[in-house]
Amino acid sequence: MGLMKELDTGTPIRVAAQTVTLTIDGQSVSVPAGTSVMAAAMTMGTKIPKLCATDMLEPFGSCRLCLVEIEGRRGTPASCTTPSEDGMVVHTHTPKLAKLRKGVMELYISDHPLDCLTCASNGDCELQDMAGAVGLREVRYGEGENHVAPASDRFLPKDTSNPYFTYDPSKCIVCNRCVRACEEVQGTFALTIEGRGFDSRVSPGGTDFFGSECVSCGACVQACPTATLVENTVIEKGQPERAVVTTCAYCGVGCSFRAEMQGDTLVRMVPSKGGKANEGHSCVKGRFAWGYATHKDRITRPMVRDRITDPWREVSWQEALGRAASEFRRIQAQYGKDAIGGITSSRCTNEETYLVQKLIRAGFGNNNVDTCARVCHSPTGYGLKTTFGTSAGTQDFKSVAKADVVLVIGANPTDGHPVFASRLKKRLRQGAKLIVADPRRIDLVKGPHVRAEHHLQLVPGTNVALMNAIAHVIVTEGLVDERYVRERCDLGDFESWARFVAEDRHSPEATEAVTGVPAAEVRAAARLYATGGNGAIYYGLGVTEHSQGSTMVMAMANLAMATGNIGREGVGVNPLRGQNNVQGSCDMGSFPHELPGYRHVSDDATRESFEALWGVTLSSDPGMRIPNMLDEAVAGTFKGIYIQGEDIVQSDPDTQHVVAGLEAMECVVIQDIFLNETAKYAHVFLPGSSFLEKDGTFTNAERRINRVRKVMAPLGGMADWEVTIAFAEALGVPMHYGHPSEIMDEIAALTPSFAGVSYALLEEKGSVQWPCNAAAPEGTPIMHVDRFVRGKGKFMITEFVATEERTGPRFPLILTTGRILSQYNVGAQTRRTANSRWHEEDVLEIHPFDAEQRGIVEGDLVSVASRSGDIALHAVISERMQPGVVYTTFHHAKSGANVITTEFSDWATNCPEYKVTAVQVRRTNRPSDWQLRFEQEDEALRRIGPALDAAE
Amino acid sequence: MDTAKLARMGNQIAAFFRSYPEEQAVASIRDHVRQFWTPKMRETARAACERGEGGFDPLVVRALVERERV
Ligand code: SF4
Ligand code: SF4
Ligand code: SF4
Ligand code: FES
Repeated sequence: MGLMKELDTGTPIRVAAQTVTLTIDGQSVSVPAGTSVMAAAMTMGTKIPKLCATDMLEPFGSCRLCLVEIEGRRGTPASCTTPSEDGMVVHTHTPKLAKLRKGVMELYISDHPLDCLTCASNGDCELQDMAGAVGLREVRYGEGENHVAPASDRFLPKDTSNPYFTYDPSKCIVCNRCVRACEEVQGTFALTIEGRGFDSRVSPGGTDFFGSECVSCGACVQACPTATLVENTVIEKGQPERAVVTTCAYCGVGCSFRAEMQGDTLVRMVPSKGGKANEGHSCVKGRFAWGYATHKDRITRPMVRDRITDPWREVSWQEALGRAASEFRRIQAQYGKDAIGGITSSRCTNEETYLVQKLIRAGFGNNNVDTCARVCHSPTGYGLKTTFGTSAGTQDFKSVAKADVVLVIGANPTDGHPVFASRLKKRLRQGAKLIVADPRRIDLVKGPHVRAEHHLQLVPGTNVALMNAIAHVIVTEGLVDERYVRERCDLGDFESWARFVAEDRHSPEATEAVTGVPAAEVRAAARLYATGGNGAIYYGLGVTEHSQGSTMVMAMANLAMATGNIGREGVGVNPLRGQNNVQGSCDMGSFPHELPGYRHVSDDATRESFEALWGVTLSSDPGMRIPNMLDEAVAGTFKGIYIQGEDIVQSDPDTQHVVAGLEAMECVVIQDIFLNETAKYAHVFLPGSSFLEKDGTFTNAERRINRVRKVMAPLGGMADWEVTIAFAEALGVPMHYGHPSEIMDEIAALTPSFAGVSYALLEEKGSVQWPCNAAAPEGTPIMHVDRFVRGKGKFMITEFVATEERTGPRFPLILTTGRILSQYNVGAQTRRTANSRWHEEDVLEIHPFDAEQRGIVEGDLVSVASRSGDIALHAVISERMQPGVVYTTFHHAKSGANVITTEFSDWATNCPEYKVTAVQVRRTNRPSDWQLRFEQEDEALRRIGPALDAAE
Repeated sequence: MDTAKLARMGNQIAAFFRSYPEEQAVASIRDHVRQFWTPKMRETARAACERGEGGFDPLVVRALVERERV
């Protein structure tokens, strides 16, 4: 932390069993075999001048600045492309080399503007550094052919089309680093070098950046040694003066970033090479879309109101907290202890989530705590716990580099989990095979240098039938890894399962009519997964958000166990988790039936350990889930809720039911950074803090606990954990923590899988993957290595049960929902950034065949109606969908996608069935009634009145 | 919470465990309900089952009603 620059060894230090020893400038140095002379020199602190090399990329050898002399070799080889060898004797600085380097630099500078003093990269430019390093004192070439003078016919103007960075071709030294970064690191192949020789120029495929394939990940900007590609915030604000390592608050990949600061102003976010989840890469959200954190819409003062139709009144913290506390106590006195509850946030830190569930269990005296994971990955927890014994994915992200066959099911990593997708694409370019099971032709199916061997384009809602068919092939064709199963799994359960899937009715031929996937394709995919080497499964919400979500998770676990694909690198069953801390919020006991560490509330020993520390008696009965709370609210028995950092009106299914529930409550307390949709129905608003304003930890999809570090003071005066403590105090439940590290200490003391976790350990290691305890003091990258956490792996019988949501004459199409790269979840953050330029509204994707039947053309406003409600969206004609299936996203509140989703849900966890809704689509000329009402209420329920009490 | 909704939830759980031998299915349903449903939900459902109302799957009825006897 604090280091302004991360070390750049020029070329990657290789991983190799063998080391070689060479002599550089008279000093002996040992490095792993395959490491370049340049990197070897760097390990002993010798910086050989370089321009085209950087350790995020493979060496390229084009700039000729890194020349060295090697005894016994002729000429002056480039140190970046020369591998170290045993006994080599290298000289990095000789008069001959100095002259050559000066000559090279002179040529570069002769075609480079000399406006260093006013350049955005002044102080952070490798060209400038190299000119200094080689001692360049004069440039002997006169004005000639150049790319610098605006009058020159080679001059190209700046490209400012991307909202986050600028491309200034006049400063380009054509080192190719950006092109290689886009290929090797990001895997998008958006950039090329156009033209030859002196004419060559970087080009985003012949158009401007915004109009190109570029996904704005920023890799090229980091790679660029000059000011040619530079962040707009740096142009605007200048160079940062300090850096703090923290964690992205967007998705479950959990990328580490260096927040580069001037005082308490954030200048830019740069992915950290030391971050184990991302290893120096990022996506547009974490890298650039952080402007929401200081957006003018932030609410920074507490507010209250008596009725939701009243304007909000700004008040002091004391008044707001006092109001919330007295209302909650009144409600409990009047309607009973169970009449209140709360929701923890997957966007807040582990420590904050822990405190909210503690407040509810210990302070409210019930277990009415739930979290938004309910609507995304609750089936993952249930399914993996039942089969393997832990509610989490089995691998670290790095493991994918060892996979031979990757099965991606119901996930769209290039949009949802971009940095993981880049790792995956890298592995696929090296030759691993890909199978995609998805109703939609996602980008991975066919992209630059990546192609799925099989795309199983199934009908939404038939996942389990497809998995059973794959299992059928594996069992009946004798592809089961019998030794593994015998050693590692419960045999009785295996045999019942094998008998079950072997039944003819599960064969690919028999299920083809249901899934819509050709039998031959299923058979080929099954054989590939079972016999292609290390088989790894990655899945997303397309698996969990179904009425059989939990069944499907177990079906995938069965498949992995049957083929021996659990317990080492390169294999596994891995959820791609949605929100940044959805794993952590589940770990921290956010579910009504579980205390932290996934231990049931009825488990006496566990409960007693919490009771002893907290000094209260805890209820041994499971509390209400979010849908139960809403039902009870409508029924008049649930009256108050404390929601930290969630927006259930927008994210939960059947919006009108959610609203009815909230409207029936007497005290709704919202803690958030924005006046979100749910806050329209609230009586008390407590300002939340962004991830930049607090200390804490997030846990990503690989169970990795990463530090979040405070870089600026909370705009509202208190960080979220402090607000919960203050609320608890107002309720008469004092909590004593001076810093989030003390909360983590309590978590570690009470939770066996976190026993070894402390801020000191995180400081030392950077991050750690739970379980982390005496048995695994450094954490656990890969789970179930010698045995399953539950002992023997448990096969479960997974009968396909079709959802009750059926298409019919009134609703003949299936609507499925998803997400896109530039927007995030309910969009509250990304909509408040320039990311919206990539996605201004939610649209309906419809197949040309369905469109034509309905007389719909591209851009038409269409009504999408289901049994729950209807909305209007603009149509996009797309062959990514199969006929009969339409698709939309839910990033914009005003489109109201969840007005039409139904209340069907997963049988085990009530995770809503977002992925299947029967709808009808027709042309329309007006927004739906719900949308019109939304527009009116958007104003009416958000009014903020003048502050009556000016004293804060 | 209305009985129809509880019946739908219960019957969905039964649909999963139906693949198992009946005794095992009944025990698994009972265990599932005990783990995840609030006491009030269990009571409401059990009362409806005892009255023979709500359209509960016979497996759910057994799981909820017999529990009282053991
Ligand atoms: S921002 Fe990323 S995708 Fe765009 S050109 Fe640069 S490396 Fe390629
Ligand atoms: S834009 Fe930057 S990284 Fe790309 S070739 Fe030019 S100088 Fe090198
Ligand atoms: S991949 Fe996820 S965690 Fe990484 S930068 Fe993008 S949004 Fe943030
Ligand atoms: S750094 Fe080695 S040739 Fe450019």
